[in-house]
Order: sequence, then C-alpha cells, then structure tokens
Amino acid sequence: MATEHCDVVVIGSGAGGAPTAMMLAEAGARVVVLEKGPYYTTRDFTHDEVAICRRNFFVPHADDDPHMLRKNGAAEAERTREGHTSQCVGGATVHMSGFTYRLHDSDFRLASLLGGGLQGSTVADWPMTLAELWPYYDLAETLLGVSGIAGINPFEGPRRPFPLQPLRPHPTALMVDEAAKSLGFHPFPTPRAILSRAYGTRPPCNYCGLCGEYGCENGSKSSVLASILPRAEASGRCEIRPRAFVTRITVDEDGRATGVEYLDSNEELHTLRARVVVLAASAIESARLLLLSANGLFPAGLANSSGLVGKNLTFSNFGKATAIFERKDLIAKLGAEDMELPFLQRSVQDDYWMTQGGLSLPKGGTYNFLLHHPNPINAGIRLAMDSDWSLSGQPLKDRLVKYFRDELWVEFEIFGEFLPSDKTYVELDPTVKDRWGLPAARINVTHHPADVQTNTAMVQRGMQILAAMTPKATSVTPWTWGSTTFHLQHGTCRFGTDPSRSVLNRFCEAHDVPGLFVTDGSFMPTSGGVPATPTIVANSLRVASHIRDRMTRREL
Amino acid sequence: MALSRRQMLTGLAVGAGAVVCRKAALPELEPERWFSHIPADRQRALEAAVERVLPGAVAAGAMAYITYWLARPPYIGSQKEFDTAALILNREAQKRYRKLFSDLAGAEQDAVLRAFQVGEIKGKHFDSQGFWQRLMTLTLESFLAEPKYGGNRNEVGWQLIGWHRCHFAPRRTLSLSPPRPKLPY
Ligand SMILES: Cc1cc2nc3c(=O)[nH]c(=O)nc-3n(C[C@H](O)[C@H](O)[C@H](O)COP(=O)(O)OP(=O)(O)OC[C@H]3O[C@@H](n4cnc5c(N)ncnc54)[C@H](O)[C@@H]3O)c2cc1C
Repeated sequence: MATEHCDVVVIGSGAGGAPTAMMLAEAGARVVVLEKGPYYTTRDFTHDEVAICRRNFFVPHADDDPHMLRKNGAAEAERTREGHTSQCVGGATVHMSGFTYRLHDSDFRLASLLGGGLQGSTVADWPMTLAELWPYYDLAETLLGVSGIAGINPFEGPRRPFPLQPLRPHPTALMVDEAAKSLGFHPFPTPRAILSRAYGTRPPCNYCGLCGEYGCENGSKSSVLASILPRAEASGRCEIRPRAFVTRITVDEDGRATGVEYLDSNEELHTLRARVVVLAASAIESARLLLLSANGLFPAGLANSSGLVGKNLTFSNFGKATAIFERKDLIAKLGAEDMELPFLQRSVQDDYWMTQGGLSLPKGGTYNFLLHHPNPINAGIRLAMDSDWSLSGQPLKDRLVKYFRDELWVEFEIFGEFLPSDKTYVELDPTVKDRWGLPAARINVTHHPADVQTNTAMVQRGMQILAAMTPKATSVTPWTWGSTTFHLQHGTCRFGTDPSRSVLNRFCEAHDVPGLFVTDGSFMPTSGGVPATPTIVANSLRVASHIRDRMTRREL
Repeated sequence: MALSRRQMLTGLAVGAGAVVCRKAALPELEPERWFSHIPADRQRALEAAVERVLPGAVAAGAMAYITYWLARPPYIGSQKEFDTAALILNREAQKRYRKLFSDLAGAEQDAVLRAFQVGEIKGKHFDSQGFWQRLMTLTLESFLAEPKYGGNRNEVGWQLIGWHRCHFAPRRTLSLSPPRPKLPY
C-alpha cells in the first residue's frame, strides 16, 4: 500500500478531535480525520431503545473489543464496555446529554487550594489559568450552539450571553427553585448543547426528550457531528475517514511524530504521513494507543519518558438521589399543561467549594436536577433492581403502570471532583486482546476516601433540596454516592511544565515527541466539578490556534 | 456473576457466554429456531417462568424476542444457559412438588424462582442469580421494545404504560407557548 501524505492527521472525531480538525482545515491545512467507528447520519438515529441504548450502536461489545476493569485493587479484572466513550464520527458528543458547564477558577489550582496537595492523591495545579481558556469557551459555545442564560449563577464569573435562550423547562423547575432558595442555594437554568431556536441551518429541539444515550434525529443536539464537523468538511480540506482504526503512531529516528498506521474496514493496513499528529481517541484509548506505539526509541510507550502515560486517570465522581412525586399533586399546583415537557433544567453550584462540615476535600461539584430518563425498559429494570430483583409478576406490572401513569421522578445527579491517585490508572492488559489482536486497555479504579466522603456529603445536601420541594415527594431515596461516571474521563496524559512530571506541555504537545498533540480530556490534571466536554472543545480550539500559528510560521 | 446496577440499567451486561469469541460461539442450529428445538417440557418451563416475571409477556411474543437475542451479541452463548435453566426448573419442581415446572401452581413456581433470585440454586457452570437477572431483563425488554424484535406484539406493552410510538417525532403533543409568568426562565 502506497504511503499517503497530508498536513495534519487527527485520530478520533469527537469533542477533542473535531474542533482542531475544523480550525486547521479552515486555516488552509489538508486534514485527514481517522475515526474507528461508522459515519452515522440523522436517519440512523431512531428511538429504538434496545438497538441504540442497550446494544452496540455506539459502544462496542465486551466480547470482541473489551475494556478490562479492576475495582478497588481486585486481583481479577472483569470484561466490560465501561470506559468506551463511543465509536462513531462525532464520538460521544453524538449521544451525550449535552449539559454544558464551564470550569471554575478553583479547578485550575486545586493542589494549591488544598495547601499543596492531599495525602494519597497526585492532585496538581494546571499550567494554565481559567482566563486563558475563557475566550475559547465563548467560541466553543458559538460553534456548537449552546442555550442558557447568563448572570443567574453567582458562582460563575461574568460571561457573555449564551448564543441561544434557555430551553423551556418542566414546571417542576419552579419547585426546585423554591426549595433550593429556601435553603439558601442558588439554582440556575442548566446550560445545554441543545438548540432552543433555529441556529444556522439546524432546527430547534422538538422536545422528544430522548437526548442522553441517543443520537438526535433532528440535528438539534449540538454534537460535533451536527455542528463542527460539517463546517470542517465545508472547508474542502478536511476528509473524515470512518471505520479507520489507528493502531500505531510513528516517529522518525529523532523522535518526531511522522504519522500513523491504521486498519480500514477490510482490515487492510495503511500508512499516512503528516506534519502534525493530533491524538483525540478519548482519555483511555489515547493512553492505550501511546502504549501500543512503543518502539526502539520509546520502549515504555510513546511520549512516556515520565512514566505517566495512563496514570492519574480521573473520572467524574457520581452521586444521585431520587424523589418520587404524585402527578396529581403536581398538576394541582402547576397545571397539567406542560407536564410532558422533558427537561427540568436546573443546576446548583453552591457546593462547588464546600467550607462546611470539615471535609478533607472541600471540593464538591455540581448538582444537576433532572427528570428520570424517559426510557421505558430502563424504568422497568430500575424498578426491578430497586427491589433487589424480587419484584415480579402482577406486582411488577402494576408498579410499571403506576410509574408511568401516576408518578413523576425528580432526581439530581452530581458531577463531582474525582481525586487523581496512583491507584487509578490505565495500562495494557497482559493477556486480553481485542478482535484485531491488540492488547486491550485495563482500567484500575479506586476512589480516594476523601472524594467519597465529599460526594456523600453532597448527596445528603442535595436530598435536603428534594425533601424541601412542595408538594412533598412520597419518597426521597439516595441511589448512589462516591461512584464513577466512566464516560467522563481525563488525566492520562496530564499537561504541565516539568517533563518529568507531565506528559504534555502547556500547549498539549508531547514533551518527548515534537509534532504530537493530544486534545481530548487526557490533558486535564484534575477532573473538575463539571462534565468536561465544553472544556475539551475549548481546549482543542486553544491548541489548534497554537498549531495554526506555528504552521503558519513554518515551525511545524 | 450478579451484575452491577449500571451494567443492568444500560444493558451493558454481557451474556453468560460472552467471553467466547463471537464467530466460534455461533450455534449449529439455526439461531432463530433455538427455542423450537429444545424439548417441549423445557419450552413450557421457560414460558411459565417468563409469564411469572411479567404476566402477558408470552402472549406478547416474549419467546420470539428472547430467541432472537440469544442468537446475537451480547447474549451469544446464553442459549445453553437458558436450556440448562429450563432443565433445573423442572428438576427443582420435581424435587419439591413431584411435577414439571409448568404444571405447578403460580405460588409454587414463584417459590422455585425465588431460589434462583437469591442464588440458592448452585450448579457447576450455572449462576442462578445471574440467570434470573438476565431472564427478567430480557422479559422486560421484550414487553417494552420495538415490536420488530418479536415482542411487544401490537404494542400491548406500550399501550399498558401509555408510551407513544415515535420515530423521528416528538413523543407527545406539546404546547410550546411562552413560559408561564411564575417561571421567569
Ligand atoms: C451517554 C453520555 C452522556 C454524556 N453527557 C454529557 C454531558 O451532558 N455533558 C458533558 O459535558 N459531557 C457528556 N458526556 C461526555 C462526552 O461525550 C465526552 O466528554 C466527550 O465526548 C469526550 O471527548 P473525547 O474527544 O475525549 O472522546 P470522544 O468524543 O468519544 O471521541 C473519541 C473518538 O475516538 C475514536 N477512537 C478511539 N480509538 C481510536 C483509534 N485507535 N483510531 C481511530 N479512532 C479512535 C472513537 O471511536 C471516538 O469516536 C456524555 C457521554 C456519554 C457517553
């Protein structure tokens, strides 16, 4: 197979890859995006809960493309699909829920705020400030199409208005507002990567409510597939190759990145040479690819002289509680008119930094109030599980009917700080391989006790809000705390100024490998108290402007 | 292996035999016909168990649905598990009541199934708790999924819960009038 050439090759077409591809193609570079998954269009996005949410439409099966998972230092790893973000053009932004928050200043200097660190954690400050990222958040929101309202969340600094007004909330938002305010919290409308109005050629949301875990058939969810990639392709200089699985990043004898090798859908191997290699395969898969790219110059894995590739893996710290309301009580207070609206659209960030309670990690995160996902099968299984699988027969059937006809479940989910430590990391599995014969990623997860403690305190505080809602809930129950949101992943190639203590420099170029940039969540030394997609998009744009300037000056 | 909450909720759970390579595990039998090829007493045992999970599920096509998915990932390899389970259902029914499982009264069937649910039934290569969770999951799926997989016949499951069929369209009719004055945003 003849060797091809381009200016920039981008590995992975999701939140980290697409913005860089777009910006560099628009600046005149010839860009090729290699994406392991298929190229779906809106016609592929049905509401088939089984096919889309419960099989392998977005995420591969554990039998032939697995991740291995060891929790809490277990000796045995289990085969899982956890930790795969997505496999399709647009990456996991295609089936994300689209909650679109910015980081706070405290996220950039957590180590300092903790007085230099915290025992048992590898927490580190970022080599960049929030102010540096701020303009790129503005750009990211404009490119994606984000709805929200500025100036209500007192914990966010001054910001410019959102490109779109907020989505229409479910009437129970009023109850969350009242309850939260009565307890001294400051609820605000959740910013959403969903169009509340027509935006460019894209139509507004039709409020079908099937966002998270689904692709949007309307093109109204602001995935990079709907927003940024069409612009990249319109430049005429960006080619997206689906079903192209990159198996190795190549370097020359000086250790400079020269391109990639990839398998196409016929499992034929190709070589693509490029001046710049941009890696954005998700924090876990990017680390895996660097480790798989070991060679004579880099025996421990590419860009890994620090030994930190795959280390300092963080996820989002998850907690959740559920309040069950009687529909008739809600209708008596709020009217029936808007009861079928799908989005509750309220968030609270008062506990982003928690001073009360003497917590050893005073860093909390974000409460996101929402209605229980409308999926019927998911609801049925949740009801069975809540009874430890003992509810069956007519009682199960009756419970299902009651759930759909008489109840409304209001929940909050927490996006909390997940402390980095040497107990949570990704490596190559010593024995298990994927269907191409390459070692699978083995994920090791152990929460730091301090982040579990803080997350638990948050769940308790959030439950106070649910309990203060009127009319009263018939029950308020914690569902989980101090657990792990695997599809929010960061840290495996942390950026920093010291090459012995970080993998990437402050522009996300590998210290060891000139010409190799990593633009997914891998660069983030700490997880932050919000889901990271807008941060990944903004940072990708920041890195791309740096690459563009250096390419223009012929330095790359 | 009992399954974690998140695995079950998102259908990430893998079938009992999922560690087997996909191609090698394809059964000799035509996969869609697995159910009609097992002995009649075992068919009846599985049908009876599914019916105890969710009354009306069999009439709504649960066995067709389950047969369809047991031949596909992530359930490849689970046909054998379901076959074994049917055998054990009958064995337990014989042991306790000297009858076939399908001939037991409802309460007796529940007593046997309860032993599965709590993992009381032990077999060398059989995980009764895992089987019970897979059986419940597939039965609930069959009843509430797109009818095209063989279950939810005439959308009876959706009708029961008031779920509207909705490809490429809003699920419900909404008035998108401006927000009410009580809610400023
Ligand atoms: C159900 C769900 C809901 C979510 N909701 C939210 C939310 O509300 N708010 C939020 O901020 N975030 C949310 N996220 C997270 C968000 O999707 C991710 O943060 C984001 O997509 C990560 O960007 P990325 O570039 O790292 O990875 P991705 O966007 O997943 O892109 C990585 C791409 O790389 C490809 N790839 C992997 N390996 C290779 C290889 N070797 N060769 C070629 N291509 C490869 C993959 O196929 C994939 O398409 C959600 C995620 C999920 C799954």
